[in-house]
Amino acid sequence: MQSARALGAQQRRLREAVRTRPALAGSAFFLAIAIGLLITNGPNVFGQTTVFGIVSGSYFALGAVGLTLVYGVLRLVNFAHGDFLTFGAYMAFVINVTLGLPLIFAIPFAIATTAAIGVGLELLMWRPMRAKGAGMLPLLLMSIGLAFVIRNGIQMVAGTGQRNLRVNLTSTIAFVGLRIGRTELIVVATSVVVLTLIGLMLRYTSLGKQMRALADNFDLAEATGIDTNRIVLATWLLAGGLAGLAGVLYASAVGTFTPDLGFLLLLSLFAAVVLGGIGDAYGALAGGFLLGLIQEWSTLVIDARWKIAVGFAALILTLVLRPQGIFGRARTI
Amino acid sequence: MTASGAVLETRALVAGYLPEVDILHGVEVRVAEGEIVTIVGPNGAGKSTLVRSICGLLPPRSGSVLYRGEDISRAKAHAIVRKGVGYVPQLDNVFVSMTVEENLELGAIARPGTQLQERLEMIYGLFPRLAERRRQRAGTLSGGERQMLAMARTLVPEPDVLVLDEPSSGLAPTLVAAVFERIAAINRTGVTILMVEQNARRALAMSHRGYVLDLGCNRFEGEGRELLEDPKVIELYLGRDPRGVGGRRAPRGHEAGA
Repeated sequence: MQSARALGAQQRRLREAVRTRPALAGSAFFLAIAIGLLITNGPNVFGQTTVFGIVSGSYFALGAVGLTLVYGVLRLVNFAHGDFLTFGAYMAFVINVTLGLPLIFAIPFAIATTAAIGVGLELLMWRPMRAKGAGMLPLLLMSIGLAFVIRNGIQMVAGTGQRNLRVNLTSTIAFVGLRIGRTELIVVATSVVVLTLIGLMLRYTSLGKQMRALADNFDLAEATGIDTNRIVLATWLLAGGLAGLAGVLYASAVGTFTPDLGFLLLLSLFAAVVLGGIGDAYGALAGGFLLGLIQEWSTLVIDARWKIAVGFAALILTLVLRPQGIFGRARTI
Repeated sequence: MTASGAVLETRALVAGYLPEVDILHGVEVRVAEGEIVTIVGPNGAGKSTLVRSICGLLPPRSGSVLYRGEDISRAKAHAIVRKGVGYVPQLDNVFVSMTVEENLELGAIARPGTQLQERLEMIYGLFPRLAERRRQRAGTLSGGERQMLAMARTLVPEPDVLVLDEPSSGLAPTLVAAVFERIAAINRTGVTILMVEQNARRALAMSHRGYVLDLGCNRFEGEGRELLEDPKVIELYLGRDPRGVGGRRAPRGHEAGA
């Protein structure tokens, strides 16, 4: 009896902790799983899987940050965001394979062209629709339609077959018994550097503060003297650029890609966005890495074929327990 | 009423939200340099619609808004703020996810070249409570503190005119007095004030002039005191003085002490 009551009290305390300190409770839970997997699988296998998780997390995070920024600022769920990644990968292919130039030239080209697509679509589609006061549903349908247009457009021009970038996928670097591909290391490093810069930009620069102001209260931002159209344009530039970069990094890390790249990745990006709290750029960043780790770690327990399903199971669980995301604060006060 | 010398003026302003449904039917309001002008009227009179049209958030269907003689009725809201007309909305008037200081920094965007540190010091002098809470997220502030922050943010770019939509709305009676005192203090620094108020008696008592708006049309206008004592205005729009025993008598003396 005594112990049952103690257990009850403990449970209450635990529930209280989950409610008041979600990030801490989430991290503790996550750490417990990591330690469990480390003990059952040994440091080598666990470490190697973690490395894979960080690699996929790095392009998840890049894609998710752009997706969540657009949602945060415009309340637009952009189903075409995944196809922005595909577009970036194919633009890199043009430079890297068709023209035969090194990847270092292909990456900026992919970023610039995908950012241009983001800006162009804002001017052609989204801004006129906003001026008309279009509701959420028409915008959602337009973004779904746009996704098909981009994907089919790429298929029309480049065909549906598999493509490869000219990257070195065989050379690896060993580090305390763990192996990471040289390309994968570049992917992770690039993503970490870029995401850190984006995080600092949002936190400290005037542009970042204005973007956060729009995400907080669009009309008030305009009434405060912020040129909202200009900031929206900057948001698309950033989201498009990040998507282009994520596309190239994905194509480089995985080695092969098809026009379905972004479409297949899109749901994972949404999962990362929701894990971190919709509209929260820092949350999406963490959510991306978290999703990568969850998916790869799951392969230690069950067959790798099901890792995507595991990622989504984690997403559903998060939504049931904390609809505002692991790090999200309730938006209404 | 002549148009000359007005800082802010509307002419035959018609505006509305739904197609074919006008809320304002040709409203004419005029604010001279240095004045406090209050617009009162019952719910649904179009008071908020009027200030939203003036500030560019709701483009007028016809008529015009003039700022120092220049037609601003087609200008975007941010451009109007940058010209010197600050606007404090009634609700949701702070960026809740950002800190008090970040809110104030955003105010400076309306005037490039603002000496931010100087301005912040001046603002914190006017609103000491905000200085204490500068690192706190605005969403954690009380209703009164938010109202102060919203006003402070609008003052950062040194506007010539401050347009306030129901500054006392939702505040405790003790805070209402504090907010009105602050508005009078801001006016004394040379800022022209146009406000819409539900709390008609108190607002008119501190105003140079007032307008009574009803169903989107001008009904009465005059000096603040004059309106407060006008039997017709009292009967139709001010109602019984809640503190008076006899009801409809002119509230002279009551408001003077407020």
